[in-house]
Amino acid sequence: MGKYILKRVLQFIPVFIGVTIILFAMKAIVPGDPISMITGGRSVPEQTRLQLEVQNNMIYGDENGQPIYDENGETIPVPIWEQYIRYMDDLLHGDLGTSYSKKRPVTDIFAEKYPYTIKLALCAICLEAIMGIGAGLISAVKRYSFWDVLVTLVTSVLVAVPAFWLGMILQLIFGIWLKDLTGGAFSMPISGAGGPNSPYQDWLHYVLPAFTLASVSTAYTARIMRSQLLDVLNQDYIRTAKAKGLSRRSVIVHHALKNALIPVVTYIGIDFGAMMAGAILTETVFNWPGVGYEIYRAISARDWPLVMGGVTIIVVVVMVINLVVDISYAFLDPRIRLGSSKNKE
Amino acid sequence: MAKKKHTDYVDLKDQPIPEGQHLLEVDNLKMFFHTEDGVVKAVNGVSYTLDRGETLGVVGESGSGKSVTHMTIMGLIDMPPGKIEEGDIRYRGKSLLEMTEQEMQHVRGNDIAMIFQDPMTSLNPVYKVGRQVGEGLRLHRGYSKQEALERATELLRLVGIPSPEKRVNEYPHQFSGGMRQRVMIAMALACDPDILIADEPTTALDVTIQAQIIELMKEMQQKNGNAIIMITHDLGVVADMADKIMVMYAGRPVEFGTADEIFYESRHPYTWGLIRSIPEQAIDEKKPLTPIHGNPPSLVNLPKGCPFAPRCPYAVDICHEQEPEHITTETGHYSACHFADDPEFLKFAPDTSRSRGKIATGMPDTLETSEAAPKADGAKKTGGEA
Repeated sequence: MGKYILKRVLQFIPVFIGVTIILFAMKAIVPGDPISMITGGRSVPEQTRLQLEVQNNMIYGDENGQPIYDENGETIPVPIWEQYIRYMDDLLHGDLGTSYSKKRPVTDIFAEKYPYTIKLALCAICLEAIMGIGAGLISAVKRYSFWDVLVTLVTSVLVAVPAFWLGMILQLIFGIWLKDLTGGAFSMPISGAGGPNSPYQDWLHYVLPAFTLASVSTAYTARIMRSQLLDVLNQDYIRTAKAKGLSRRSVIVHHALKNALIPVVTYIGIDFGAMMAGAILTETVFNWPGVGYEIYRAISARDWPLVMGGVTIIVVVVMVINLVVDISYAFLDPRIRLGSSKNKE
Repeated sequence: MAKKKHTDYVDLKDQPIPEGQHLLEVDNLKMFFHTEDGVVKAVNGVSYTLDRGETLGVVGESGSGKSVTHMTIMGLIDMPPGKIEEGDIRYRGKSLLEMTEQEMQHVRGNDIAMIFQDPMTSLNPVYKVGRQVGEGLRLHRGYSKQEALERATELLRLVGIPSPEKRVNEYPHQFSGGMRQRVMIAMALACDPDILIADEPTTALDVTIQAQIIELMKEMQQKNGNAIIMITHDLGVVADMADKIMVMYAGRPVEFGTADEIFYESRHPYTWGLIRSIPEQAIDEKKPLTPIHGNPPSLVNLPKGCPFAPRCPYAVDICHEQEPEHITTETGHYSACHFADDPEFLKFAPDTSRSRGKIATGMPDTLETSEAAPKADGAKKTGGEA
């Protein structure tokens, strides 16, 4: 197991290098002058502009931040590969650069935004696990019944409806149409906190965004659960369990469920990783101050340090979560945990 | 073995068999599947009786209904699509078909146990072997976890699994095929069932291991006195252990008799075909192996007349017109063939007299090697197989 984890951690390195190279290349390709981003479009004196270029690793400079000139009296541009190495060097020292638009370190900005994304993702994943597994279970156990048809129908609709549309519709229904009924509890689902003077509890703000974020994955979870359980119930070992005299309920709870859950847990785990990348659509629709919304804004503003830093952080987080998922998978399935080396047939 | 739970429930196997009844009586059982494509007559009039300590061999091609019949007896067929059309199954005089699902749960695994063809897929991959073997004991005998595990260890030792105290804590994928089938046998025998139904228990195994498994089942039968129903398509396997043999074709028994009657005095051309296709037989007689031509009929559209007629080399007009009744001899040997009592016709039967005593030892060479196979105490030889 230790060896397996080590191997997986070592795999992080090429992925990490690949992602940063792609981001760096994008930065070079996408048009737009970084200096005018930094200055907010205002014109600045030539001297200030050169200093900014030195600061941003675009031209060579001395220790005092002054540009170095060549024999022709011109500035010397830093080649892109050296820019990359400098960026990686900073990165490995925990410096993700400074946001152009916010003039604050990228690490600070994300440290502030991440808790909102994590809280929303946790709520959504709980909803997804409970509703998805529950619906799939009922659907499979009561196959072809009214409930099965209902689950199939609802999941089809949920898969087809885009999250941003669902988010807006939910706001419209619960925030505006049903305002009197809900006492306006859902009418301002923003900022993650109602503030000290809010008459409503904090968690109410999570309901609509979490439901929106979980909608599509809940539908997939229910479907995977249903098909897995039906598949497992046809396995020979289920027949063995029945032949022992176990009741149908025991067979499902004790013999089928654990086997059927293995792929479901994997899906939910991977989905949690995806949610940790920030749900750009959901967060934007609900003005949720998480990383997804922040990256959306950063891209719109061509705030490259923020985009690159944000994506780099997200890549690391997602890779770590996927590793945790794979390890938990091994705990559910002894065939992976123990390997099959002892089986000589 | 004190019972701790289910004290209100009296095990059927502890009750005496009523006068004039058998341990198990299957009486004209018909079970059809109602599907979109039509009615599949999977079990179409099966009758037999079984007594304690006896071994019944059930032989037939794939799709002849031999497994489905016994799944029906165990109550393991989903109804619908399955439906009992006719007949009865009586165990110790009590009809299994009239029992509630709860009562059947007490019978399954406790009174009648079953092992299946493929040991590779018949064990739950996510639970330890000890837990799976002990599960029946916890359910039917109310054992505690610890007691069940101890008894499971004991059972694994009995079926010849080396170092059982270590193996109970392992998972099925850590066992070889032969060892898994031993686990299945241990699991089935956990509650001392009256009847053990073995559905092609050796088909998925190597030939040498097949012999060991059969030897083990015989040994366990001698110890426990349980009856065995051995379902197989291999006449060699039943020749070696069966007292009675039922040959099935297209969902119905075509011939039933003692092992000797089936092998040496067979009265049905389908059985003759099966005998002619035993490899050992052909080698012995230096004759080419003769297959039965054609395929079994569709169980949805059974041909008119005798279902075997389309493949029968001796079929005449009446065979295509009229379904044969069972023709029974004084010894109870019956055959579903119009000519079963026609001495002229019986001359076509394969001559097995020369090999008398040879078929009966079944797989002759392999069984001798099984002498070296692990006995009840287990430990030695099996290491290589594990």
